[in-house]
Amino acid sequence: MASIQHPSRLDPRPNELIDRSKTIEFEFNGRPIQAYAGDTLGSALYASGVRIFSRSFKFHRARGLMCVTGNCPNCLMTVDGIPNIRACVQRVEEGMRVKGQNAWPGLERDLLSIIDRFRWALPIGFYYKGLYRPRLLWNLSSSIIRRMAGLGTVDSSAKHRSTNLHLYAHTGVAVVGGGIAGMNAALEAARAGARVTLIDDQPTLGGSLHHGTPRELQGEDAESLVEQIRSEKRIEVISDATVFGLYEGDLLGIRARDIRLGRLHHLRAQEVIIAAGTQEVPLTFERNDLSGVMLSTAVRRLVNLYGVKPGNTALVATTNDEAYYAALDMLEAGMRIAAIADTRPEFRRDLEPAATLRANGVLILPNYAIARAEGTRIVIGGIVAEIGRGGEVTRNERQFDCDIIAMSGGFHPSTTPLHQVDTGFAHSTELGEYVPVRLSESVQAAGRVTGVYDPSISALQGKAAGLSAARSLGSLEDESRLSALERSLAEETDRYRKRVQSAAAPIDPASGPRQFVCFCEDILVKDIVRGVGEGFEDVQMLKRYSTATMGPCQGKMCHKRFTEVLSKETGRSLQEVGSTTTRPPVRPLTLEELAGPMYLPFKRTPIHHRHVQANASIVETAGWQRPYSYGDPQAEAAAVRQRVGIIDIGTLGKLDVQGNDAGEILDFVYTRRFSDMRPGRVRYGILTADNGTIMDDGTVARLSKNFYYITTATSNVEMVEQWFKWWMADREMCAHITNITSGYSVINIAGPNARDTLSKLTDIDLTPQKFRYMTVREGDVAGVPSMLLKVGFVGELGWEVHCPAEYGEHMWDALLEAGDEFGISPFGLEAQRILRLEKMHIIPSQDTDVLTTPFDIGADWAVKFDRGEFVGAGGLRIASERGSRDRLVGFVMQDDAVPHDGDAVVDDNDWPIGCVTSSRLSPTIHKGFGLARVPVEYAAEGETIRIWSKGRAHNAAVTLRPVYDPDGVKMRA
Amino acid sequence: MSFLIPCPNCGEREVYEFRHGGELSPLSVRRSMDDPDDDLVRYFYFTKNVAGENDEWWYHSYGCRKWFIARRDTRTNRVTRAEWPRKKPHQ
Repeated sequence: MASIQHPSRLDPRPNELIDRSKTIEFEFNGRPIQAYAGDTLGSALYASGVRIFSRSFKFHRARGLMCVTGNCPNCLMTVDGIPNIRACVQRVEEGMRVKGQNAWPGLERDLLSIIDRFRWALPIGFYYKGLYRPRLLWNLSSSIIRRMAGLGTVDSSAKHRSTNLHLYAHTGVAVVGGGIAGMNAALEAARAGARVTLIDDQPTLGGSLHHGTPRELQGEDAESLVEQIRSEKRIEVISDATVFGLYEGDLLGIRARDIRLGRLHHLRAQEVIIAAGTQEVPLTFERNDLSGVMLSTAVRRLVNLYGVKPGNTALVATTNDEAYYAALDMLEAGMRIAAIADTRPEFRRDLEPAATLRANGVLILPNYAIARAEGTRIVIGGIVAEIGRGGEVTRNERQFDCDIIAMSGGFHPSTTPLHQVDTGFAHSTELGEYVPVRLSESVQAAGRVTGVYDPSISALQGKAAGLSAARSLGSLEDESRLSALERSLAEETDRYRKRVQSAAAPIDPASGPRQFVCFCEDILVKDIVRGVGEGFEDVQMLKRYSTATMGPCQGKMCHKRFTEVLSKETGRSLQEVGSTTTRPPVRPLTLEELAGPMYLPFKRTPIHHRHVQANASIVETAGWQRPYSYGDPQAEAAAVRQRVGIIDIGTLGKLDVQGNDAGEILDFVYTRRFSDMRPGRVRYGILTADNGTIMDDGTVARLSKNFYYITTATSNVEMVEQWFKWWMADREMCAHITNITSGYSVINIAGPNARDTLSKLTDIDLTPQKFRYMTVREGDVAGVPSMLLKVGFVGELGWEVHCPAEYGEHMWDALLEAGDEFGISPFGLEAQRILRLEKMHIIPSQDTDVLTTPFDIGADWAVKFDRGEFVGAGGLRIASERGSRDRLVGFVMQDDAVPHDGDAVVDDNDWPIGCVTSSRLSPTIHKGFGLARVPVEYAAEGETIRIWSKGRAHNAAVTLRPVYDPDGVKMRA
Repeated sequence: MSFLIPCPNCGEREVYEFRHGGELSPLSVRRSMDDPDDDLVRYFYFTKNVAGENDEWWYHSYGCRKWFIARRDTRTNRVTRAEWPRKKPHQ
């Protein structure tokens, strides 16, 4: 057995979480620290003697472990470059690099702690009060404050870890919390037939049963419950995971705690049971933030879960029974108990540990409260004082030397998930807690979260909640058990309410100026008192003014004391004071965890590998990887103009429209008719939105009477499909629209030699008389059944060859081989853009925006009003009557400049009046040219416009006709 | 926002699988030519914007790709009903 020389390590404990046979080494502020497997950073560091774990937010006061549950801000550290990790719950892993934060030069000696001497200068809301004038002071002070105050620093050079998996799941009943109530709820629900997911934030189920002693169990055996859950097939357990939020529709956000292999679960539940338990809260007394002042449950966790001895002598201060168990644990661990100060007026004779402690000679002081802790950074003693008749702390004081002060100021139910589903809360004076009173339909609360601290009641509550969840799911067959449970629960709870004794801890602002309420933001009792004095009497207002409850713990540590001080200062009851609302996340999450892994999906055409083999440069457009160029776009464009070229346009959106009403639906959504087109013909169409603006353009080919084949812009096919279906759903038309984009490979062959090349591969008659411009033929090409569309996007004689995707590469190879003798060459996206621009063929959304109508691009011919109603008719009519404000025109530069896409068109004073939408160097006229959107008064042949490019204006001549083959003779050849 | 929508074809699915098509206004307005100014303005700017149960267009874009009409409470996002337009699925 490997053993580590830890000064504070105890002999093995029965319930400990550590595995003493395995040792792990990590690094803390540059020095190696040994730990056992199962240790947290907190327990390992504490065991090896570390006492100062952090420096506080504002005053840089030394802070040590306080809660050991991952709630308080006292142990925030930077682990492997990730700031603000809670050391007390972060399990140790081999080689972790751990650093203290918010301290300079280090945690032990932090020069910034000089601020603590100037607390008087930093009262509540000081930044609102003193630093806003003059303006310069504000800038200076805010930059200094930001540097000195706060949490860890993000390491911007840290590498992205892509191991953050997101998991999505559904369940019947989600039970949050693996303690007595949660385990019972899960078992009952599962036995009644429901599917259950049990989420627990500890490595093993059992909740407080683990750090607690068997004395608390009262008949319920943790081990047996865990065993039963393990053998129940309907229960899935997610251990070591935090439910960080309960969202709309009962969606639970769950994060597994391991920071290296984070996992985020999105769990959708039909029923939710919150059994998240409670968090013990601190007491307020002078210097209650010294290292060594700990919650009583923190002491128990250190001793029982990690076998760590907190110190040698402890002073215990409490308002309830809990701390007695801690005292007993410490006694058994070989510590001395100096005294127990209990704020309740009488000795708890019926409390077993109290009697045991007294029998062991421990001094128990009823009606005493702790007044002060002694020490500067670490506790060396404490002073308790008798409580007077009015609940104030008297001068009747007793001093004790000690190195630990174990305190218990009561409990704060872990209600955060309940807040998130709009649960109503009310303060119960009997129970001394804010308890949930109005729950939403599918959410229940069970266990200590309800403010009832009795293990047997927790078990009953859990069972009842589990059964009633099963009933809501319809799987509960026998209701009698549930009603019996509910009856005995009501009786037990009634008895509990009668016997419960809660005593609020005295709040005495006079007993010292360093009584911390909020440890996250360094808010003192006197700050709250002052805030109330300044008029912030509403709990929500005071919260925002003081920032109490707004730090990393989100009120878990301070909410109870905060509302008590407010209640005392305003003389209102806690019921009247109310509570603040906590919001997700319950525990902080990194953005990386929320974002999840980085997946960048992309699409490739069937011919993609041929482009890669040809060393094409690949660009991504609209999610597709496409060949940008095979080397020289200008040369590729010239090859098309002079000889013949092919381009892979398989990315075109392709829709198959069939059915009796196919023609009708097309007539209805496009701005012109298609049903009057003979089969075998192809027409260009513009799709407009309700208001008449351009959404997409493309070709529509009629293959037979009720069969149309549509192509759309690459990026628009999904939108067009939705659009068609929407109108069909509305109009009750009968047609089938199928998106067959990936089913076909498309190659455009274009150039003077296109006919000679293609005719080598097919029997289809390609002569101009037989195969006319804007027609379609079906037949075999290179042995593959294909469709040929004679269209002219690049302005040359050419065909689009559509064939089944599987034959894409074959077709590509066949065309290249057949065209070899004619000087064929592949061309890329850039060459195509140049060629189409020379023909003034637009690309929607490149050359149009959301306001562009067909009239603005000079496509009046594509809008036909003399027919029935159609989509966008109203908007188009308005647009046509009002006339265009801007027009899309061609331009040719008068000097040798080539503007960029997006350059401004400016007036004589260099004010922008329009915009270049596309611009290239023309291989035909060897000048910069393109398309620009200009005010309509400039839209005349020969008009001069000024284009602002590369820092100055250049003159350009407006043209309304394409620079290449303006009459379109070539593509009709 | 996280709720389930019972697609009439696929059953309950996460809202992120769907596209919202807005409230079920008379679509006839959108293609009107009689008084385009008035009708279009009413269509674009005068939606009912109900706080409560409301019939809406939804499209199951990451599923069956069909449009349907769902009745959703805009305050709670609870969807109580989802059905084909005019009860005839033939898209």
